[in-house]
Amino acid sequence: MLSILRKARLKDKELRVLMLGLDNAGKTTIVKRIMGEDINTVSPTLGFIIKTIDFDGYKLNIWDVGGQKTLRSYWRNYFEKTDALIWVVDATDRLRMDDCREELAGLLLEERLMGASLLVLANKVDVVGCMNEGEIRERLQLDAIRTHNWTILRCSALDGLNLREGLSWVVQDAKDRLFLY
Amino acid sequence: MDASDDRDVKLQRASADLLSDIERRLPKLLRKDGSVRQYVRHGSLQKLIDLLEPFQEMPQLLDPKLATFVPVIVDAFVDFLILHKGSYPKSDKVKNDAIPLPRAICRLLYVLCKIRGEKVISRFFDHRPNLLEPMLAAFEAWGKQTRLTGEDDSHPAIVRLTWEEKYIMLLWLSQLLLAPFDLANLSSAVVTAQSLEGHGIVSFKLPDNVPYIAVRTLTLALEHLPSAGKERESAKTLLVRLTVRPDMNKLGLSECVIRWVMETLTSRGDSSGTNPSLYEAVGILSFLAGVLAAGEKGIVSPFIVPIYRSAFAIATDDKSYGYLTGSALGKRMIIKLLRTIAILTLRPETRSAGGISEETVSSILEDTIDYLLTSLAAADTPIRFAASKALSQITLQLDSDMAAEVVEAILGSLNEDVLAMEATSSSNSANDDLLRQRTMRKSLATVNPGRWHGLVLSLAQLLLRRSPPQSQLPEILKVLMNALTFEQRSATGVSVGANVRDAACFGIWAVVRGYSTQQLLAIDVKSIVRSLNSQSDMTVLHALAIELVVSGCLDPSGNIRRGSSAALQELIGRHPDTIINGIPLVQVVDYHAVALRSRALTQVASDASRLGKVYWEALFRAMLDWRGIGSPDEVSRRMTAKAIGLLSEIIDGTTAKRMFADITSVLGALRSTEVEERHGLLLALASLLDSAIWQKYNDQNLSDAELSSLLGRDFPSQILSQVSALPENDFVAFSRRPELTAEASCVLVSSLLRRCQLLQLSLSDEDFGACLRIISLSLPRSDEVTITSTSTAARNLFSVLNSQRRSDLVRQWIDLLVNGKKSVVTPSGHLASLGAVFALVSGDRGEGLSKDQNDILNAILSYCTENIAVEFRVAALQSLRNGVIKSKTITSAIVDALQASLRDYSVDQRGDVGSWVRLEAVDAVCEAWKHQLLSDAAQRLLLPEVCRLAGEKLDKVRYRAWLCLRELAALHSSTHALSLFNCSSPDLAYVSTETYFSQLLQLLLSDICGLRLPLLEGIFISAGGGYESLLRASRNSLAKFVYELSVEGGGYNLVEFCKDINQVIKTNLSNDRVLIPSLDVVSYLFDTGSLQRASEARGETGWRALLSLVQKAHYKSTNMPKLSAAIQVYAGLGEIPAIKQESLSKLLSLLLHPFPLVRNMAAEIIFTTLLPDSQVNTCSAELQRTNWSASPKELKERVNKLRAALIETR
Ligand SMILES: Nc1nc2c(ncn2[C@@H]2O[C@H](COP(=O)(O)OP(=O)(O)OP(=O)(O)O)[C@@H](O)[C@H]2O)c(=O)[nH]1
Ligand SMILES: [Mg+2]
Repeated sequence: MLSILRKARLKDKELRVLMLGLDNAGKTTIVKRIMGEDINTVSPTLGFIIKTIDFDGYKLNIWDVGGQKTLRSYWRNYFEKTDALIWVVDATDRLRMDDCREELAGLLLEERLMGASLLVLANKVDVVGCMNEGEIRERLQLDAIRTHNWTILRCSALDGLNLREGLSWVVQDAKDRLFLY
Repeated sequence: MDASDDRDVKLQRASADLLSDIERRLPKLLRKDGSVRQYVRHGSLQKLIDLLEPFQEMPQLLDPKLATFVPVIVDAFVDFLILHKGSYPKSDKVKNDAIPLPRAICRLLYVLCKIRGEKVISRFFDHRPNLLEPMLAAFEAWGKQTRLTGEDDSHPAIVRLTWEEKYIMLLWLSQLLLAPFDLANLSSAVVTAQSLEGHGIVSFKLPDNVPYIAVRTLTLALEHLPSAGKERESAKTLLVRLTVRPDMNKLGLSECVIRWVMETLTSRGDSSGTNPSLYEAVGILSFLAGVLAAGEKGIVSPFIVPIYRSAFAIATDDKSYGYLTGSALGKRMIIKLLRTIAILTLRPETRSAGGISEETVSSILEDTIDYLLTSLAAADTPIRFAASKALSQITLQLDSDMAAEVVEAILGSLNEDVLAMEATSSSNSANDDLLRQRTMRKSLATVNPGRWHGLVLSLAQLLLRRSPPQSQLPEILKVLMNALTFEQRSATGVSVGANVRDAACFGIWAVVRGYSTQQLLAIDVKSIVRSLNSQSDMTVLHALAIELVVSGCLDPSGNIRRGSSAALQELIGRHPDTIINGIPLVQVVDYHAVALRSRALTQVASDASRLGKVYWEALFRAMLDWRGIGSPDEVSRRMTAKAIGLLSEIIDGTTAKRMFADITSVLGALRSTEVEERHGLLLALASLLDSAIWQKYNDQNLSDAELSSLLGRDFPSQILSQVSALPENDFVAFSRRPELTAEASCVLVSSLLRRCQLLQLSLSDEDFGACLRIISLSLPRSDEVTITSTSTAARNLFSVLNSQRRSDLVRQWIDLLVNGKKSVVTPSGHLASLGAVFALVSGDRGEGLSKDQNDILNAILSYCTENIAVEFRVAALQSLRNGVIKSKTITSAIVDALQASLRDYSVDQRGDVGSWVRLEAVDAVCEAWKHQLLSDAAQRLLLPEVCRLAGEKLDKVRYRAWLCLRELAALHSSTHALSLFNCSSPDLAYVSTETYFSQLLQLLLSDICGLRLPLLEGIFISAGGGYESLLRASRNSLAKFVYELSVEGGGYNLVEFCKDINQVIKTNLSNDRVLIPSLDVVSYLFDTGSLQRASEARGETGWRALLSLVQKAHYKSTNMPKLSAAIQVYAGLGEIPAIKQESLSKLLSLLLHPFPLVRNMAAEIIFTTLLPDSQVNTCSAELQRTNWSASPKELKERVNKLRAALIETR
């Protein structure tokens, strides 16, 4: 079964995308927005939710995992052959930026994430007075990352800003690395 | 088990290095100073291939570099082609190590194709149309050249083109044929029908005006289409490409080719002609499938129906085409062709272009689907895979009604052979459930597992594409649930059906992924769950999750456990908040945690069952079935019993009581021949008795009433009734696997006795009688597991018996052992049990041994003597260690027995069987040391023996002796000589290292008396007769040690060492086992020059003593190794001035030895090392000229002459 699945994944151009970040960052809202679902009914994720998004001929299996502290130890359970990591940051939450940086840095050390690219989404930019890209970049020390191919995008789950662009980046990166032929 | 994920991670990390290494090596392999090589070194090529092979696991990792790698290779080939297309490099001119460049390149390209697929690799081939001609020319020329020279015996070294070369070049040609302009533009020459005859394809009628280049291509393709090798596949591709070219079609060539191959395939199939060969037929079928798939509608449509007719006729005509349909390859090709046709005819545009009627289409579809459904049952797995793939692909093209019909047909086939065996019971106890489960399995006993695999696999593939409508889901899920627990046992007891379960797991994964929560929740759970217990309000998702949890924990196959875990994760992630404790469940039934069966079965199952009663129930029930106590191997059954014990710790007393009842009733329902299940179930009962849940009742002095409410009335008798009625035959008859019954019964008796003791529960005389009967029946068994469980049971029994009964039993067993030595076939069990109860018959006085103990000891010791079979000596020693020494008893008789056993070098046809005795003895000594039981006197006796073993040549013995020395070292202060053993880590490999031997040799410097000679003996054995690497390690350390000794004075010195050598040889003069290696070591030490350092200090007498010992050693011996060792020592002694003459004289006399080999050796030694300078000229000529193989009589005179010259010249 596992080998059939592996072949099917290649043939159907499937990607495994892990969506992580501190709680309340807006991960579930982002997924729902992309799926065109109602975003007013989100509640904190207590486990994980898998959704498949068809995008540009690719199937993105997105694993949206709850970010509460008690759940973070579970993150590592989902690391199996992940193609891309989307790290969602709440751009209005200045207080927890240190926490956010440490969690991300720890994650990038995981062996099972070695082959994954990293998309950092600075969410909730619709809110006035939120951090700008440069500030987030600096406080998360993104420029020090050498192990992963990464980029950062401002986005908003509320008005949908840059969400498709984010997915495009993930898919394009996969095209360049995983689905060349 | 399956560790592929970790491999993936590793490969990913290593890939960057691998890739850059390849990038570096590639140009060097192919070119020198910019121009292409003619030959490449085999080693360099292989190295590159070795670097590529790992990528097989994750081919995409190669992708970023393909655009660099392949063109480099391809360019080299093109350069070579232009230079050498007329003649292939001759390989007889060079060493075997060289490979002609084209061959090397084609191998590389083939490896790349194998890893990444030929479609991807071939797109990097050079596409320039003007290569077509040279490539063709080269193929023709090289092929011809090799054939020509092949017939010429004077050039036998030339080999034909390899299959890799043909495969790659044909593939390349087919790529070149993609050129978008007419072939006629590439070659002006055209041919008529005649000109093709020269190319060997006689029956082919060519249309007019075909360009010559096309004819040559056609010739090559047709020539290789019937090949058995892989080149057939690229010949097919080439032929397809040629056939579907518009210009060829215009000329009529396409039609011509298709007709010709069809004729070849069919017309010769009738009785008049010969059938095409298997590979020819396969080639043609795959060509037809290729043409249909690739061709323009206009070109192929007219052929669809005729091709279908012939294909189907062949497929169903086993009489004429059995050789084809009966081969996995042939059958797969037929399936592929039929699939291609079916899918084509489903397209309206093909139908109209070919004028195919609706009726024809539906008959094609019906027949094809029918054929595929039958093929799903094929014995060959690849056929089943091909058929199920074809079936699902076709189904996906059908409209929904027809697709549903196919699913219907699959479901129908699945139920075909299922025996009607509905369970009648309607009650809901777990036990009835279990019986239902068993009935279910029996009802599947007659289905064909291969067919079920094929069918379930097809369902899974359809589910993956969400083809079946929701209305069919209940029926499908029912099948999948059954298939997830599918198992059959072959006549020999081998478990089959893992592939069915695997496919079911895949199917469930596909369902939970593809269908929405709503759709799945809408299904009535009653329609799919076979046994409905109290949870009738369960959802379908929950029912699935439970089954996945059970499979994840219990399935015997690691892949299925992991598959179930993955499916469970998918289920819970896709349908959040539908499963009780879903998230913790995923954490517990973790993908990595279930990899190891023992962990999955015990830890994971126990953790999962804590997350809900439903999981607990399902796991417990499944453990009582084939995946648990019904496992075919005893290891899994033991593990399951342990797991059942763990389950019992989670629940309350009432449920635990029910577990007893459930297990007992399953036991009751067993047939007397179901010995394995009984083994598992009895162990499970024992495990329940051991369970920690009773802990709280210990020592509470419960009243009988309380106890019976806790455990039921007459609890011990109830339990014992499970074994007390077992017939004696079950403990004896070979066919009944008596060792299983004995083990399980004794374990149960043990657990019961222990539990009764803890609960202070008294046993009736009958109960005692039952226990004793079981133990007595098991005592004669000789396997280790039974002996352990029997002796444990004996000990537990003794601890509840009064002293009179203990004595009686001891007497009885000793009687059997001592007086009935003949009647007790295998005394091992009795020996072990007597040892086990030793501590329990100590009597009241406390001081000294009781009479019973003395008797036991004497009985055991009487089995430590040489007239007893080795196995029983071992058993006696084990009993001594486990029973007597562990209870801190030692006597001088024991010490003597141990000492003798440490020296046991018995040999029989099995080899050094004495080593088993030595091993046991070492362990026993170790035990005694641990308890500090040995007096100084005893130590003086035993320590030297252990030191000897620490040097000897068997790894295992050395290792255990070393562990023993470490144990001793631990008792002593750090200044003690032995303390140096303390530091190193225990590791079997360590005792074969130089460091180890150096450490050992340090003991020679210590003042522990009596230890030197045995130690040297041991080391000499390794250094003189060990296997290669051991020999080297011990010799090196010995040489270093001797070299570092000072010659005289200051403790142990070289002179002392030389004395010790004499002593070792002297004591072992009649013991070749030590003597020969010792002589070898001495001559080795002479070779290294170390002994010569003592040449003066040792004094003439000392050396002379050695000389005479050597002489005694080989005196009248016919043992060649010994003679040869002795001669070598003489050679060494000859370098000691004081006795040079004597040594020479010895050797001279050996020149007349009756063995020619000895004479030659002696002559050689004299000649090479011992001739005095003054005599070199005269004597060496003499020595050399003489034929030392001639008879001693003839030689006598010469030897006398030599002797006169050499000895008298002093
Ligand atoms: N203003 C604004 N609010 C947002 C945006 N995205 C999410 N939110 C709000 O942020 C809150 C948290 O959103 P979630 O999607 O539940 O966050 P999460 O990352 O999934 O949290 P966990 O599941 O606990 O890890 C919700 O109240 C959302 O409405 C955004 O782009 N702009
Ligand atoms: Mg969430």
